[in-house]
Amino acid sequence: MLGYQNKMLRIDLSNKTYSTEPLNMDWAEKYIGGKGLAIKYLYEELKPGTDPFSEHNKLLLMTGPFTGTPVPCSGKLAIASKSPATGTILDCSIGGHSALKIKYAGYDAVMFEGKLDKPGYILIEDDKIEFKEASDLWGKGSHETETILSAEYGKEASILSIGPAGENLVTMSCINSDYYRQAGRGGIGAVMGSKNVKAIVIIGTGGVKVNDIENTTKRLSEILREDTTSEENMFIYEDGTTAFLEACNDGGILPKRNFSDTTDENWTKYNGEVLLQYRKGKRGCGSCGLGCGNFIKIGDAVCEGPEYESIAVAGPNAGIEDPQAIVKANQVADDVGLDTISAGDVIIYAMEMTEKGIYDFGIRFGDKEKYIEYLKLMAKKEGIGADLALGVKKLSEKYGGEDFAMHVKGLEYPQYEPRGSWGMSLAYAVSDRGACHMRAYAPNDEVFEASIPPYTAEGKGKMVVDLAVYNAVKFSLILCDFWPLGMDRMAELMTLITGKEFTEDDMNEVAMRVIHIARAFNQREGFTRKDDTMPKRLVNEALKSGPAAGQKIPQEAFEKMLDDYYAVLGWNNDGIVPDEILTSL
Amino acid sequence: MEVTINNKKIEVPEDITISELLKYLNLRKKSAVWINEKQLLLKEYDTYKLSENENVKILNIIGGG
Repeated sequence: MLGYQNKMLRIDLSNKTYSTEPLNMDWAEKYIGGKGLAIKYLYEELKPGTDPFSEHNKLLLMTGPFTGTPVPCSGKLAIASKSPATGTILDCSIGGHSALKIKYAGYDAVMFEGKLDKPGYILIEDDKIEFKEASDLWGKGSHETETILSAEYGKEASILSIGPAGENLVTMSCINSDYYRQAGRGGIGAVMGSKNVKAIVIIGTGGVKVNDIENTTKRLSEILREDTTSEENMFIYEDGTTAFLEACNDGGILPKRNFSDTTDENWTKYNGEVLLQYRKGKRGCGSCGLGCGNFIKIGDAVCEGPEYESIAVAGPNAGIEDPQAIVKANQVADDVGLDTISAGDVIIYAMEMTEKGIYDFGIRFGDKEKYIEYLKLMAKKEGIGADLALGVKKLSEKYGGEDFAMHVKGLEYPQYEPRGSWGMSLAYAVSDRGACHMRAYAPNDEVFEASIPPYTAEGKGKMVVDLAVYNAVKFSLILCDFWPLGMDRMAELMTLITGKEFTEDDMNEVAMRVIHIARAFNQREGFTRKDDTMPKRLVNEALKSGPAAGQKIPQEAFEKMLDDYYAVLGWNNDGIVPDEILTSL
Repeated sequence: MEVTINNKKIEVPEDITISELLKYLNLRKKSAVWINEKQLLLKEYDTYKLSENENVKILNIIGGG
């Protein structure tokens, strides 16, 4: 099929050798690329029980058939491995330009195996691969690392790097690119750190062949104009994800004080209207049509963003109302290489533990200086940071507070409060990498467009499957989540680029394979229904404020949602994928 | 009549409902809509009629953040 380079680069870090091989195109037809194809490869190549930090774990960079073409919003890269935070499959997507460079270097995917004997970085320059010494970079932040490597290799080089958090194997560390873009969740940066890889520098000078370039280009221009940059999508260019704050606050799903309540009456102190007054510039990823990135600079604090999740966790969920502190927290987390969501959730859990007198972590709600200081300590595992780097699950097992430990399978909660959007509790519970808002996104149906009643279990199993099907295809095409294109459009784009006819039904079949194989990977690691949970806080404590005041989620309602979700997918009541599905994958 | 849609002044027909507005602007019929900073429910789209100078926000948030 066109659109692919039909080539995978395999890098053996232990022996400092590399090889190329044809991309498995039978799998590419069934799983496309990005998330789906990455999980298929890891399902086939990782032995069950592999220690995520051992040399037997693998780190896989996966593009898709649209990467490097003019398909709008196609500049993202999937990075996959086995998660050290959860023990589940882990796939992340990162913006910027690295995906395009990999494709232009001639590869659909790059698989890292083994481990360097000492810190190094990898240079991929078309068909030239070099293993470089990085002892002088080790210990530096991601921003400085990228600046040094950019100076050496020029602006055409794209760089993936880790900060001290990844080096120190903090299980909430991320991989950075373009300074402020992250593969954020599940400790993907720690996997790279465990392999002693500080950075990956990619220079690609080739191109990508697509079907019928004249008609394809013409049609893509029409799609960009009519479907991508249409009026209801342009808020993402104008406001970025700060627009989500108002929607979530209005809808009763903006969490505050470690998810103890929602709806912040002081949200106008740090909302988009405030933050965007300090906007210094705009940016988008490669092949982007929407350009969501806003550079915000307030005093000495600067970042691209902050995005909704980072604002919510370092803002209302931490009892902080100072926009400069929120931007600074984002800047520091990016530089030291920490996931803003998980690291933030750890700090707000510690704040509540201290305030309740269960264990004194030395930080309380509203303590903005310590919030920023603790991020640095966590990345280095120094002082109190050594404990905090354990993550919410392990901390609550060690010190208590399990009633308000907000995680699923050890991955900390994103910033959409499920008591105002019950489907989100199911989405977090069944997500293939622990609590994640990117696998099925319920707030639109339940709160924003409000087409489905939010405070009921009825219909939520089917709703979450439908949402997961949509995202499974989108992230296998490795498209940006901010383009709300339909499944029919995704099929049309596949046909346009590859020259092979794809229908909406074909895309739905791809989605089901992806959902099943991700579950099969986790099932092989011992995950079952017992692990598809929601935090006790959602069952035991009703919200006090906002449109969802009085809401909590009865355990029996949650169990019904789980029953329905498994039934729709054809899994048994314990959430097990049956053999007849497994053999078809 | 003139209304403000996503910070832009736009002329629309008198008494236009939200459903008709979305069709008129060639937008998705399930977009999220706020009128004068108050969120409208999908079930109100067929009956809510816009008035002169109202402030309309139309978003399509389907994930991420």
